[in-house]
Amino acid sequence: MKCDELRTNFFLLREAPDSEEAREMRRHLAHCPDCARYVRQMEQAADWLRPRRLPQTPASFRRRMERFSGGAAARSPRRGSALLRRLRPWQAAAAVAVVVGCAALLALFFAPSRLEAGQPLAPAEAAAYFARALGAEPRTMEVQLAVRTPRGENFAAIDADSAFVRHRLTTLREGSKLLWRMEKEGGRTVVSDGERQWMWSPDFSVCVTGAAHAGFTEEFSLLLRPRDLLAAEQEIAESGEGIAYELREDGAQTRLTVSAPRQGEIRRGTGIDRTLGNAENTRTYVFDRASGRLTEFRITIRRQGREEEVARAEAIRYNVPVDRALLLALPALPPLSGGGKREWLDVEATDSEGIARHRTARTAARRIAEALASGRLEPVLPALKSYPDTALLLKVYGGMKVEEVGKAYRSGSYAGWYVPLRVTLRDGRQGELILALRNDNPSRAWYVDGGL
Amino acid sequence: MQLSLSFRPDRRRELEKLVGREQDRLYRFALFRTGSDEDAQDLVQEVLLRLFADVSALRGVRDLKAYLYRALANECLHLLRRRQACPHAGEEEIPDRPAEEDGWQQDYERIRRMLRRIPPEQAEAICMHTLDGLSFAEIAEVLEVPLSTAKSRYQRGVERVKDLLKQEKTDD
Repeated sequence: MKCDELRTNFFLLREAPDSEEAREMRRHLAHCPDCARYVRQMEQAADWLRPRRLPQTPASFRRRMERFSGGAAARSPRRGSALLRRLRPWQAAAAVAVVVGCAALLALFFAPSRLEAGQPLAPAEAAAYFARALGAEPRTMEVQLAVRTPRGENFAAIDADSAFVRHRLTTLREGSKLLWRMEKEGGRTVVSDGERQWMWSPDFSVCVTGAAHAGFTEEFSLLLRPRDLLAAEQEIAESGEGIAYELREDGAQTRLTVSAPRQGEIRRGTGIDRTLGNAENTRTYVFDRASGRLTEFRITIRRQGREEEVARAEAIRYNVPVDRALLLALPALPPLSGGGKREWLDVEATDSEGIARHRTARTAARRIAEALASGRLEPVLPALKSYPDTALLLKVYGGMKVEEVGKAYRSGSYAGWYVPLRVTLRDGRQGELILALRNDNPSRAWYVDGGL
Repeated sequence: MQLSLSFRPDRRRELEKLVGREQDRLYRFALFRTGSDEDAQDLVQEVLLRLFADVSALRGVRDLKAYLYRALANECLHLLRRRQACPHAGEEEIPDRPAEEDGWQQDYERIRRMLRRIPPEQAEAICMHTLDGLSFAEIAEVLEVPLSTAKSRYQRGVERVKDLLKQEKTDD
């Protein structure tokens, strides 16, 4: 080996010490002091260029990546966030709970897991279990769920401090289309014919419709196809990032338990700490050993040393008779209580990316708050696309005074920013709003994701 | 008769898996080059949104990983050029990534300062190998240069750093 050749490949001595080239280089170095000195100095310089510490990847970034890495979001993409949220009352305890809740359910399914007790199951074995459970899709499915959530809130707003609310999901497969109905007792209902979705609620003044990917059910859409849910777990298991599982075989059932740590660095806000994705949580799946089908699942969080159940499937039934007409039935929209006709609002027609793409979250929040205060919403309507009931917004926030707009901050696993606002309402009440703003869209425009 | 080219059905899946595997490195790749957590996150996301929006365009891509890093490198470069053209345009009042106790910022800054003193193509080769963990074959793909060029850029860059360090020692 010539000196030039050795010098060009000096890094092989460290990076591939067992390679034939490295062996030959060592033989050369044994009788070439110039090259030996050169390599020593080069290795020192290369070491100097190597960072001693690497930044941790933020949880917010991981959340952003989920949609690109084969998670449910990648399979059924959402265009921005065309979901409707009920206007939160001023007195709501945690203004951000809705938003964090949105992230929380999906976060649950993607969180890196660890085993706290019991016999470890290798990730590959866990992945195999999930793969087996991903059997043939049923023609129909019915799921009865109980979830701790405020009745009037969106589907993914899990709140450990709320009572259990019953949910019912029904699906019907027609060729490549999935028709479904998701009902929250006393709250909203969403129906999809595979091409469009409709959502209504007794307390909406605006009922909405949108394309199949409108995202009205948010991360709850994972539940429509247990395959998606299990595929997400399978991905986690395959990634093998320190993941461990506990498996118990119990007669005709196999019980697989996944424990996940709390996610992200929590900054400010006691309300945030109470939400699901930011708590240690455990997902338990029960499979029928003969068919491999999922028959039960349960989600608990750990608070103050205690396990608390926040969601459970009370019954999952496959291939049961489903009445197509009833599944897709839409309500006749009643007139508004104050008079006037209630209509379906097409979120596709009104949707846009948001506002103020070159501004900061704080500036966008100020602009939105001031528009609410002045009652002139027109310029900021795109940023309020998650709140189609603008009349209700103005009823609560119209005429308020924006006293102070705090600095934007990130917290937990949420992909957007939080901006605290100190305001005085028209009736003189004072308080703090925490707007959740996102701009993770192609145009990087801001929109309000929650907090009102 | 013209036959339509069928898109490889697993290309989207391949990209998804790649993102799942590479996300930490993609983040650090953009973070080192932009120096901003927010920009790093946004740039990676923008590149992926673009790729996923038109997966069929990846049909002719031989090395998807190299293609992804090349796209991200270009995006970082555009951002830095925009910043140079309009120094205040990118200034955000949003607090960037909070200071951490693990000190990676100082490490990054130390290396960044040194790499500014050597030719950019050599700095890029060092960056890709030492910080981003890319092999020389991958660097060659990303930079679209022969393997020997990727290696020699790295070697010459490290040589320059070696000399600069020696010089600093002498000056002290």
